[in-house]
Amino acid sequence: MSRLILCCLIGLLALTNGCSGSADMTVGSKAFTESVVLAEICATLAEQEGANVRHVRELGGTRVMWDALLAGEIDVYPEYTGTIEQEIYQGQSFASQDELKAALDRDGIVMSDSLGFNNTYALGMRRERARELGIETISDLREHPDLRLGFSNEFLDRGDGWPSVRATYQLPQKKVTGLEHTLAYEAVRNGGLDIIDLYATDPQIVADDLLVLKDDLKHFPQYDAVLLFRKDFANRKPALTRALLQLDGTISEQRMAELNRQVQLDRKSEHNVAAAFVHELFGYETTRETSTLWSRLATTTAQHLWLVSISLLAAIVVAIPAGVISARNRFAGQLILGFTEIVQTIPGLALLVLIGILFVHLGLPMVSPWPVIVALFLYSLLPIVRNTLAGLDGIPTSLQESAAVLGLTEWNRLWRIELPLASPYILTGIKTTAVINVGYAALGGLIGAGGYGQPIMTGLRLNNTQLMLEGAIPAAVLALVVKFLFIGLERLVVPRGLRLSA
Amino acid sequence: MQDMLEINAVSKAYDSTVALQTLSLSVPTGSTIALIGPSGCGKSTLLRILAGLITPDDGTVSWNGEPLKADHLRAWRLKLGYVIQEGGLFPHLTLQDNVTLVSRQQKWSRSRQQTRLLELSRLVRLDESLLQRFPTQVSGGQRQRVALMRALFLDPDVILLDEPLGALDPMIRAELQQDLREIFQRLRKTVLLVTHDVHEAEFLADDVVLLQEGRIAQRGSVASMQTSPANDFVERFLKSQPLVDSPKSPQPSQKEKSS
Repeated sequence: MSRLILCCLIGLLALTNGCSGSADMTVGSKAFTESVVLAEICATLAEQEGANVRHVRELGGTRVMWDALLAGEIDVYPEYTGTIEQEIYQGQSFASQDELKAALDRDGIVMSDSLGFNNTYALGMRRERARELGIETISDLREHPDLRLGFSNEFLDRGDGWPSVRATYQLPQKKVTGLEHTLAYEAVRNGGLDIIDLYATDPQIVADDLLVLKDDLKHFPQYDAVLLFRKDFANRKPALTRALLQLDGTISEQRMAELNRQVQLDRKSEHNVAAAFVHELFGYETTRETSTLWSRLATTTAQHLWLVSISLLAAIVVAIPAGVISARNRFAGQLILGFTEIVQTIPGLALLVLIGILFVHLGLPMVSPWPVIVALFLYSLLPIVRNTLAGLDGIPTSLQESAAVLGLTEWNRLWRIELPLASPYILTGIKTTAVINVGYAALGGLIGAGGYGQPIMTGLRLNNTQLMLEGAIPAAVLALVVKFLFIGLERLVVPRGLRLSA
Repeated sequence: MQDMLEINAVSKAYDSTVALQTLSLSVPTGSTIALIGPSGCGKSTLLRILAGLITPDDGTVSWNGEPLKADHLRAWRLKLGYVIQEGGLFPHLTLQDNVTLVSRQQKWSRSRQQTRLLELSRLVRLDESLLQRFPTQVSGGQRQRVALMRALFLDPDVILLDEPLGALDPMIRAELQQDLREIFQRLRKTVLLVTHDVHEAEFLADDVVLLQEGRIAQRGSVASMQTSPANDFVERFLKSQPLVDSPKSPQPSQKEKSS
């Protein structure tokens, strides 16, 4: 038992030293291809200036990006003017771009000019099907209440999204499915859905021959692509800022759709697409990305192990004492178990978002593995607390009384008798938790914490099965490895006398 | 001889069931007392009160005139040896670690522990080489010998035994009864022994206390109880026990093990 605790402490110390270093510029991207490509272009340009750049990929939606920018966890990220008005300033209207810039300036943020394209939201359907039904504009949809609609989750609840589109156009459709944007194209292609939301620069519009319905009531605002910088970054790194501002007006809608196509349909890496674009535009030579399957696997495995082990070690350190307290005091036990059970019922994504919000409020680094580690830690508590309690409760009364009458101190009874006798149960609880955590840690992919979740999320975004398997298969293998590791750990932790009698 | 262990008007009830009713008992230093009686007569409850596992509803227990209190329970327990039916040995510790557990807490030197181990393994007639084994790897009789070693290790003033031989088969039981008697006679500790077996009580104890529904029915030798029983219950209880030929060679009884 004491050896287990020692292992935990050494592990914690070793792991907390492995944190990230500093970068000259941290660029963030949202969880869709165009944002990642634009951020890669920024990163490539900054690297040309000799900067050490960190790209926090696929961090999340608008709220997460904005909070991260305000908190200084990222210095710059690509955004759209319509989104700034609708999402960040909750539908306030700005008469001109200058007014918008002034509002941002008050928040300590600088906005670039338009990068050159308007990636507006739109509704689209298969051209052939539109012709059959005689649909050309969004207003035409009023005559077809049975059409099946499928929208990305962000579009379903954003200020200018589906609810307000339906209100503006008085649309009757009730059947609306929320799904991932890439899957929506798949669904409309095979006829599972009729209408989906589009971005004007989606390469699938051309590839799948989709009709973009005319926004005849001018519902959707302008979505000019811009870069948002922190003002203090612009002041601190004027050369880097100037380098990024070279992009103003250089990317047309066709150009952007082409870059998106190279990534999504031709399966090129965002890094390579960005490098080729920068080379073409400015003549810079950049080093080709050299990531191989094995180097990527090494990175994601290291990140994944870090997420699982830190959260598990912290949970062990907290949950075993909590289990001991629960066994000693029934009332405290009910409170502790109640809390861990409630945590267990919160869905992973919801818990992660709650923790993210909490991190922002507490001024903690949200753009880091820590929110995932905290979520995994909370999930790990219940099995360990419950098994510690069961193990201690399962000790025969005769042995508990023998220990008491021997005149052992309270501490020695716990340390020399009760915890060793309960150790097989406790270890089983830890094993269960470890195996489950290997799966849950894939949540890291949702907020840029890395791990096997990253290729899974990217694979989902690009509809790339191979990439998804690059995360899913190692996760399954790791779960098995962890299981076998615990068989070895059992020999180390559970006293020999107990293994004999088992 | 001065009375050292004094049980004074102790009562205990579980919900509506009365276990002990204002029971008083003096145990002279160095004597061995056997508590006998049918199931539910309160003999185990009394022993558990002495071990501090149960607090009496009323009455006091005192040792050398000092009443037993909850706040110095551990000091009292270090003066106690306690053996229960299945020995109460910890399965995760070797026999040696079981025996020396408390002495290590009390910071005994290794050589002092070794000397005491050797001494006691001779006393209880246990092969020393067995001490490195775990409880599950030795026989029931050997486990009880080890439990006795553990109880005696700190050289306690009082030894409490709750059906120590109850789970053993007849041959081993007879052998251990012989050994226990020699040990008690040699050490002259104050011993309280709970048993359901009259012959074992008569064979091991100086004085037998027969309990009936939480009270003392009669105290004395079994022979005196047979010749002049205090009441009907004493007569009936003794008649229900198998006959005994000679107190020197006890008939191991195979009755129910409850206490």
